[in-house]
Amino acid sequence: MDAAGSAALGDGIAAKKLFRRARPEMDTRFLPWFFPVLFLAIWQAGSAAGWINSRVLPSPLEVFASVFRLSESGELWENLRVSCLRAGCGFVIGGSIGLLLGFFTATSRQLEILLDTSLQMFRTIPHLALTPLVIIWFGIGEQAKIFLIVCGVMFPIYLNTFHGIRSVDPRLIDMGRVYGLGRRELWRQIILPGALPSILVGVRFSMGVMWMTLIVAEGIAASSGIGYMASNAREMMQTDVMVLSILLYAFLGKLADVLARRLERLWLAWRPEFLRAAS
Amino acid sequence: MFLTGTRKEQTSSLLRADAPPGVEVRVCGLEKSYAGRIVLDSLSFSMRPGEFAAVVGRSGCGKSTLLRHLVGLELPDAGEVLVNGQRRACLHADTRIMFQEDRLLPWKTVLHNVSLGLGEAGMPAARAALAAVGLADRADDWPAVLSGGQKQRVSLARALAHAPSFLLLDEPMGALDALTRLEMQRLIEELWLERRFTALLVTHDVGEAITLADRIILLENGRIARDLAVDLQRPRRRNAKEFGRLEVEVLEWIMSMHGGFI
Repeated sequence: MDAAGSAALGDGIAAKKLFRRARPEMDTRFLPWFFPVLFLAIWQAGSAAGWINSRVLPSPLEVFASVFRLSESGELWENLRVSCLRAGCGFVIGGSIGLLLGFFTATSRQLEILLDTSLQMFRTIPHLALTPLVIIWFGIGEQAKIFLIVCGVMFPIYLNTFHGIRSVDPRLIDMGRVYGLGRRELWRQIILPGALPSILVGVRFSMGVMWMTLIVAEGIAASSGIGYMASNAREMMQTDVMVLSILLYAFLGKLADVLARRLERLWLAWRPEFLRAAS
Repeated sequence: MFLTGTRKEQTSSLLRADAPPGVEVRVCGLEKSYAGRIVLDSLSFSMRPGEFAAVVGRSGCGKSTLLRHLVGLELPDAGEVLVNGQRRACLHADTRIMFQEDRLLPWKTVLHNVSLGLGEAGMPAARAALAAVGLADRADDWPAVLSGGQKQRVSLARALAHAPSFLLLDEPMGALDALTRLEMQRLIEELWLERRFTALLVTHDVGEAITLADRIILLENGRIARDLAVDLQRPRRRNAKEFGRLEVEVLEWIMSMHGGFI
C-alpha cells in the first residue's frame, strides 16, 4: 500500500474513533428514568381516558394526592419512620451476627465443622415460614418484626463473608507474612480488604431480603408501618393508599441499593471497573 | 583478566564506601519431603556476603521449595540454614523475597504497597525505593492501572524499601516480555551493585542467570548437580564470546541432565 493510501485509511480510523468518542458524551443522567416516567404517563393517560377503573387502580395523580393527604395528617411520616427503624435495627443486628459467624467459621476449621451443618440447615428454612410461630412468641410487637428481619438478613451476609475470607489469595497472605505483618495486621491489611467485595455483595442481597421480610411481617402482624398502612387500606378499599405503599417500597428499595453502591464506590475504588468509570 | 581485576577493585571500594549489608548464608544438609516425595535431598552450599548466585533447574527440581526455606516460610525436615552464623528458623526482617507474580495488594496505592510492613515511619524509605525503580511519579496510582513490568518494578521497590541484606528472587522476570525483562535485569543489577545485598535468583533462563550472577548452581532432584563460577566483566553483553560459550556449556549440561527437557 502506498503512503497516500495508508494516510487515507488512518484518517478513516481517526474519524471513526472521533465518532465513537462523541457518543458517550451524550448526557445519560436521565436515561434510567425513561421507562418509569413512560409507565406513569401511560398509566395517567389510561386513567384519564377511562380505560382503567379508578376503583381498581387509581390514577397517579390520585396517588399523588393521597401523599399530601397522608403527610398532612402525619400518618405517612410516622409509618415511614417506624418501618425504616425496624428495617435498620434488624439489618444491623442480623448483619453483625452474620459477619461475626462468617469471620469465626472462616478462620477456624473446628468452628466451621461445629457450626456449618447447623447453619446450613437453618438457612434452608424460608424464614417467612416462621411468621405464625413468631407471632405466638412475640405477639405483634417490635421484636417479632425485627426477629424475622434478623433471620432473613443474617445468612446472605454470613455466606458471603465466609466465602470472601476463604477466597482471599493465599499467596498474598504468604507475601504479607514475609513482609513482616503480624496476625492482626494480616487481617487488617490483607484478609478484610480482600473479603470486602464479597461482603458487600452479601449486604446488597440482604437489603432486598430486608424489605421483603418487612412487607410480609408488617402486613400480617403490626399496628404501624407501611405494611400496616397497606393492609389497613385494603380493609377500607383505599386503593390509592395501597398503590402508594407499593411505590414506597420500590422507592426505599432503590434508596437502599443506591446506598450500597455508594459504599462500593467508596471502599472498592481500586477495582478496575470503578477505575474505568472514573477515567 | 586485567579488566576483571579492575572490576573487583571497583566493587571493593564500593563495599568500603557504604557498609556492606550483605549477609553470609550457609545451607547445611537441608532435607524436605512432601508426602514421601523427596524435594530437597541433603542440600548444602554457602554464599559469601554480597554474592549474587543463580539457581537453575527444571520445574519441580526444588528451586522454589529452597527459597521458601531460606525466607523462613517453611521448616526443613532436617538440616539448617545459617545466616551470619545464626540459625534461621523463622521469618526475619533482613530477608525479603520477590515473587514470580507481583503480589501487589490491589486495594492499596502503589506507595502503600511499597511501605507494607513499615508503617508510617517507612514512607520516606518507600518513596526512595520507588524513585530507585523509576516510578516515583506513580506513587498514588492503583496497581490495576500499571503494566506488568511496572507492577514487577513496584514489587522490587517493596523488597528494597526494607533494605534487605538477603534478597531472594523467585523467577521475578518469568512473566515479563523480552524487552521488559532486559530492562528489569539491568535494574536489578544496578541496584545490587549499589547496595551489595546477598542475592539468590531462581530462574529458568540460562542467559538471565549468566547476565546477573557470580555463580550458577544447577539443581537436580533436590541436589546440587553443578556449581559454576561466572567470571565475566559487568555489565555483561550477550553477544560476547565468553558469554555464549558459557551459555552453551550450561545448556548442554542441563540437556544431558534430563534428556532435553527444561
